Order: sequence, then structure tokens, then C-alpha cells
Amino acid sequence: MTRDCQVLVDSNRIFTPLETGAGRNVALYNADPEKVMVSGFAWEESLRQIAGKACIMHQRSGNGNVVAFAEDINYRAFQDGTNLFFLNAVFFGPGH
Amino acid sequence: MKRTSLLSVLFVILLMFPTSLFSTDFEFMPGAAYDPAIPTLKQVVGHANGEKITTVSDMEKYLRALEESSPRMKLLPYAKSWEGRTLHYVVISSEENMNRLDAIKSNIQKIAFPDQGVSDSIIENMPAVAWLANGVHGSEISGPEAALLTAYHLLAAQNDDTVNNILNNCITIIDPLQNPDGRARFVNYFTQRVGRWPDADPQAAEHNESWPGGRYNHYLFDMNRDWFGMTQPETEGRIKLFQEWYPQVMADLHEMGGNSTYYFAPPAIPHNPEITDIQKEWLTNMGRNNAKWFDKMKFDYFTREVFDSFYPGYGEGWPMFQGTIGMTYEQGSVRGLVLNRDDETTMDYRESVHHQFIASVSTLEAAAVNSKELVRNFYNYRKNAAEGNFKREVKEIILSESPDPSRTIKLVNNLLKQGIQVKRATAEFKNSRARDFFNDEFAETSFPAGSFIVPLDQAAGHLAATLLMRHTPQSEHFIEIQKERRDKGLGDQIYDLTSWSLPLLFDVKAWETGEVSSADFQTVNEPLAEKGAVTGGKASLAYLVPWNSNSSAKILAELFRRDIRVFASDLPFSILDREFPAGSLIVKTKNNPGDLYEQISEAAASSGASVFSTDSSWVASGPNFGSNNVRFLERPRVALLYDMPTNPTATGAVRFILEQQYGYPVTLIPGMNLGRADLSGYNVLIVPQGSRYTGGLNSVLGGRVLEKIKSWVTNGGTLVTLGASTEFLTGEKVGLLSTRAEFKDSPDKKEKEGKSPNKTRPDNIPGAILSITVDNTHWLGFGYDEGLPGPGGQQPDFHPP
Repeated sequence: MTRDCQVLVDSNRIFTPLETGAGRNVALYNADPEKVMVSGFAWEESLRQIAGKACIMHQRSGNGNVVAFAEDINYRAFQDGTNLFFLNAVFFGPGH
Repeated sequence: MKRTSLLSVLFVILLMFPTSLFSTDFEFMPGAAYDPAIPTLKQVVGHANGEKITTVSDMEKYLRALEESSPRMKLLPYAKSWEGRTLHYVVISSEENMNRLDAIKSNIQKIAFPDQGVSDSIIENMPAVAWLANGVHGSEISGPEAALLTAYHLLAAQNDDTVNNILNNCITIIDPLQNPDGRARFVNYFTQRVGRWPDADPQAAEHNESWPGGRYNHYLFDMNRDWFGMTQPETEGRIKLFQEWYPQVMADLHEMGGNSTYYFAPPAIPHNPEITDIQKEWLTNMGRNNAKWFDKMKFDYFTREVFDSFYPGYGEGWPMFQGTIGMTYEQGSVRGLVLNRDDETTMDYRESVHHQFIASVSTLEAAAVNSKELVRNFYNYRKNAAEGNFKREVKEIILSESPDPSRTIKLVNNLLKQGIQVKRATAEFKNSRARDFFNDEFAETSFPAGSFIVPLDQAAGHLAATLLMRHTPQSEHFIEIQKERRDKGLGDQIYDLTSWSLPLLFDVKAWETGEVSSADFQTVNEPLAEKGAVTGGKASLAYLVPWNSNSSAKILAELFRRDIRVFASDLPFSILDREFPAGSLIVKTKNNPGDLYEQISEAAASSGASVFSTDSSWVASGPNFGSNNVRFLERPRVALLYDMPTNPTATGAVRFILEQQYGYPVTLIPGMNLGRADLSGYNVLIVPQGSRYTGGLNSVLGGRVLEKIKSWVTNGGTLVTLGASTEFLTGEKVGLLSTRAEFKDSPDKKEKEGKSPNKTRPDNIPGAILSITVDNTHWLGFGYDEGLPGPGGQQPDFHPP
């Protein structure tokens, strides 16, 4: 099951999705370079490259977890729509 | 910067001190005569203006003394900082105006909301409200210092035509210190490092603050970006105060790098398209008046460069969208008492205070001379905004309660606090021209009762428009210039974000309409409250909390804090004729306190979460509560990497969100202590982004420390990284994340084969909002079920080979 959401992107970091088996890609940027940006400005080349790339990743390491967000989703604490991703990491991580 | 020998530095210092810095007969306003009944700064706190960096408590002491000395001034509280300091503002005007202040305030409300009817004589007899805001960044020290002098000058100057004009025709509001916690931090830092002689070398410790620096407030927020987010109590107080006074002119006095001169309006491009042409004319008028003074005093300045007017969260920007002429002023900072500059001059603190003082007086003068026009202009602005006399395709924003009512409620309350009118439909209605945020075409759309409507044709409509519309474009001209710069290999001139659309940031389903909806509406007058409750009374077996809302996370934080044992299901289940999505909480009565019902009722009320009682674990579908897919949630014990080498705002936001927004404690571990910290008591470690000023995470997370973290993770820890710290994990020597931050794709990969690989980074994406697709079967994606429509297109590949 998948669902769309939005993330503020303010960087030049583009992460290749994790290979199957290495970890889970929990969220990926929309795969269509024409559609991936909902609002704002970015160069076409950057949009073409970031489409389909990794935004939220999870990798197991022994009994523990690495939870990696491509962007600082807590930026200015005004992005309430992504709060649950972060709180899932903090509140559900130790139980998983 | 050019190297200067130590001897010549000492020489400059010794030469200068007895003559200029410590002399107290310096004339900030040449020829001014002052009333001896009004106390000087030196009389009250012991040093003259610009001689020392006045502490926060001495600022208050002096302003109190000024207030007691004159009927023309009032000092009033408007907010409290996190560290418990009171934020004050000063009102100064003629005695006649001060005596009718309440009437003036009530007339301002009529002018700000013209649809309620206001007579011409009220507008004609209204003084202009001119507001000087200082020191939102605590390390930008000269503005607050100048505020003390400006207040003194207005109260004490005798037979001064300019001052009399200001007193008679303006209500002057001075916010002397918008960030007292930050200034206190800076002054402490400086005081503890300055030696026998203040050091002019910019490399000296006293000019180079340690982490986090005085710029930020207690939670390390940049409050000059927080005006519409209103996350901090200082900002919230200012927004409220603004709406008591609705100033026509507002200058926000800052500082920039010490080698720069002085900046004032008009601003650089891009200009936000919601700024009107008349406002731009006034920005030029105000700038020209400053130029007149600066030329006469032989002060250097620049305009129209660097500082833009696009993002609505600035202290200059937000007021602009209410109709104010909002301006940023920037003085090159001494960041101490004396500073050598690249142009081989030495600047002292008093000079920087002098520039800010002259800019303040000039601003008030321009407001006084033009007071009638400014008030009329403000009235016309609000009236035109309310009547829709502005070319804009979008007429309304419609907000739904989906997918999470708690986020919609917070967004609506946020708009109300900013003086934006919101209406609510009492019945279902249709709009024949509506589009969601992923569609360019308008189409007939039905909306249920309970939908919120924000008309853009309202007095605060320009603010509502730029905050809520899907997109605020930069001008084509500006983008053309950026393209040319890019072709030349130069960086862009984008100062801040290029998007902040609140429905997208809040993940609230919204529509833009091309025509005004007609239906049964009620204006929302009171803030909305989310009513959390337990449905079904006291349970014998368990309480269930659907994991579908930010308030679900709030109640979990509270249950953890109360040491209540909580389970969560990794799979969706249905029971009580209700669907519970994956992640939903199961709080069993067994092995929990006897007063669980009372405790969970309190937690539901305070968090706003919905809780359901069940006496059975016999689900209609999904796992029973004893399944291995229902996990016991180990209580998080959270360590947050703090101090060097993290980025202050990134670290502050993590702490703020957990402590203040969700109510969960974190322990701050200083980065430099990580090597000797005992992490065994923690099961979550959050590593915020590093700062480009601090050399990145490599500086503390190398070798032995890294091995320690890796074994802590292997033993069951959860390591959370964000942005730049995620990139750190991918390093070859780190190896905690099996991906990489990509280099820029070559335009044509095949042709380039055989050549050395391209090692440049992709072009920066400057704060745009991008669509993501979430796998909500993973526990990190729990709570994201039904969402916004999204842009569609091909599904990204979640499982690449």
C-alpha cells in the first residue's frame, strides 16, 4: 500500500534508493520529473535526477535500526504533515 | 580580509580609546539640545550610548527610567521568552495623542477592517503608526542600542522640528529587543572574553561566538523566519501586538557582516507578487528619505541588492502582506566594541549605533511627513484587498478535515491568529470552478458540510493568498537572471525558500477556486479545539487508539511519560465495527495501573486523541492482541546530539518538536562528549544535521566514537539521521547506510563514458515542495493512510534489484 505526501526539499542531496535486501525505501520522490515538484522553483536537471530517488530509508544493523531522512523534515517546525514520520522513528524504533 | 600587524592593531586601539570611544560628548544628532529632566543612558546605567553593549536588564532599567520621566512614553509588556524574560514595547507620541491612545487604537481597527464602515474624519485625524523593531537576532547588537537612543531623542530633544512633527503625527512603537534570550547569550559571551582593551581583530575570540551564538532564541529558532509559523512565544506575542496597532510603516533593524556598510529599502528582487505596486513606490520613498540623511552624514549605504522581499516569514515580509510598508535595515556588525575592516578602517560600536539611530529617526520623519497619505494608503490597501481589486486567478482556498482533523484545526487556528478570516460551511455545497493542489484545471466540485473556506478577497487577503495558494511564483525576469548566472557557473541569488504553501506543508487536502462559493457559511470566530475522548467507557480488556493523526503521537508521548505499557499492531485490524490502521495502539488493562481508565481519559483530553474501549481481542480481521504482529513498545529513552558540530536551528527544532509540541523528554548530549558518553541508557540517538560552519559530523564521529555508535546500534539502538547527517552515514568508512549521495547526472551519460566521472554535486533545490510516495506497510510510514490526491504518474520502484 502506498500513499502520497509532500516534503520540503532544501538541499543538493539526492540519494540512490537502497537495493532490495540492503534495507527498505519507505518513501521515494515521485517518479515523474514533470510532476515531482508540487510548488516552488528548481532546475529541470535536478528534478529529473531526484524523481524516484530515496527520501526516507530504513536499514537494519544487528538488533538495531538506522532511520535516515534525506531532508531535515523538522526544519523550522512548520511542516506538521511530516511529523508522524519522525515520531514513528522515535516512538516505534525501539520496539522494532 | 587583509592582515594587519599586531603592533598596528594595538596602536589603533590605544590611539582611539581615550579620544573617541570613551568620550561622552559625542553628538549623535548634530546641534540637538536635550531636556535635562530626561535621564541619559549614562545617568541610569553608567555608560554612554554606544560605549558598551547594554545588557538586557540594563535596557529594561533605562526604558523604565525614561517612562517615569515623561508622559509621552509608555513601556508595556507583550510576551515572555522561554527563559522567562519579559518582552516590552515602547509607545511614544505627543501628550495629546497619549491621552487619547485608546480612541486611536479603536480607530485603527476600523481602518484595518474597512468593510465594517469608517468615517472620513477618522481617517483624516489619524496619526500614522510607525514601528521600529530591533534585535530579532540577539547577536545583531546595534539595533537595540539605537532603540534606547531613539526613545531618548524623541522624549528629550528640545525645539526640534523633526521630533515635534514625529510626536504630533505619529504613534511611534519601538520594540527595543525582539529576542532577549539571544542578546543575553551574546552579551555574556562577549563580556567573558573581552580583555583589557577591546580587540579589533575580527579573528579575536570576542568576535566569534561559540555554539549556538546569540542569533537564536532559547529553542534555537531563527525568529526572522517564524512569522507565519508562529512556533515561538516571542513571535506569537508580536503577531498579536501587530494586530492591536496595524502599523503603516515597520522597519526591522538587523546587522550583517562587518565588512558591509548599511542596507535599506527598496529591496532586491524577487518581490513577492502579493506586494502591490503602491507598496513598492512607498518602499522607494522611504529609502530615498534614508538616503537624504545618510548622504548628509556621509554614511555609506546600498539598496536593491542581496535582501529580497519574497518569503512571508520575515519581520519585514509578513507585515507587508497586511498592508504595512515593511522594510529590513542592515548595519555591518562590529560584533563587539571595535572591528578592523577590509577597507582598512576601524569601526567602533558607537558608529554602528549611530547609523541605526539616524535610519530610525529618518524612518519616523518620513512617516510623520507623509502620515496622512500613509494612513489613507493603508485604508485603501485593506479596502482594495477586501473588495478583490487585485489581479489574481484564485478566489478562495477550501480546506478539508482530511486526512487528519488535528492538522486542519491547527492550520485554521494559525490563520485566525494572524487575523485571516476563515468561514465554515454549515451544509454541503458546490463550486463550479475548483481544483485540488495537483491539478491545473478547474472543475465542478462538491464539498461536505464542515469544510473551511478562506476567501482571498479580504482585508488580510494578500497574506492568506501567499500562505495558502499552491504556488507563489518568482518573476520570469528573476529566473532569467539566475539562468544566466548558472550558465556562468555562478551561484543563485535565491535568499530563502521558494515554497511554503501551508496546506502542502500541513498535508491538508485543499482546493483553489476560480469563483466565490455561495453556500451557508459561518465565520469561525473562536479557535477550534480537538476534543479527545474515550468512547465506550471503562474497558475490562484494552483501550485502542487509531494511529492516524498527529494527536495519536501526542497521546502516545503522554502514555510513555506516565509509564503505561503500550503495544502497537504492525498490521491493520478491525474490531468494534471500526478499522484500525497499522500502528494503532493497544493499551491492555493487564499489567497496567488500576486507574488506567482515569489516566487514559486525561491523556485523551489533553492530546485530543480518540480512544476506544474493548472487552474483547476477537478481531473481525487482522491480528488479535496476543499476536507476534502486536509489539510491545519499549519506552524510548532519547539522546539528541547537541552543540558542536550540529546545526543550531536543526537541533533546536528536534528538541522543540519533541519537548513542546509532542511532550516527550530528550537528553542533550554535547557532540564533543560523545566519545566518553555512556549510551547504554538510551535506545534512540538523534543526530541532527551538521553545520557547514562546524566542519560537519566527521569532526566528532570518527574512529573509536564511530565504532561505539555502530556497536550501540547493533545492540538494539535506533539511530535517526536527518539531511546532512544522513549523508554522513553513507561514507565509506561509516558504512551504516548502503546508498550514496549522487553526483550530478551528466547531460548525456553515454557520450561521457570513458571520461573521468563527474564529481560535481547536483544543483541545489532551493526550498521547493516535492511529492513523495510512502510505503505505509512499513512502521515508518504508519499513520499515512488516505492522503492527498498526489500528482499521479508512474509508481517509483521501491525494490530496485
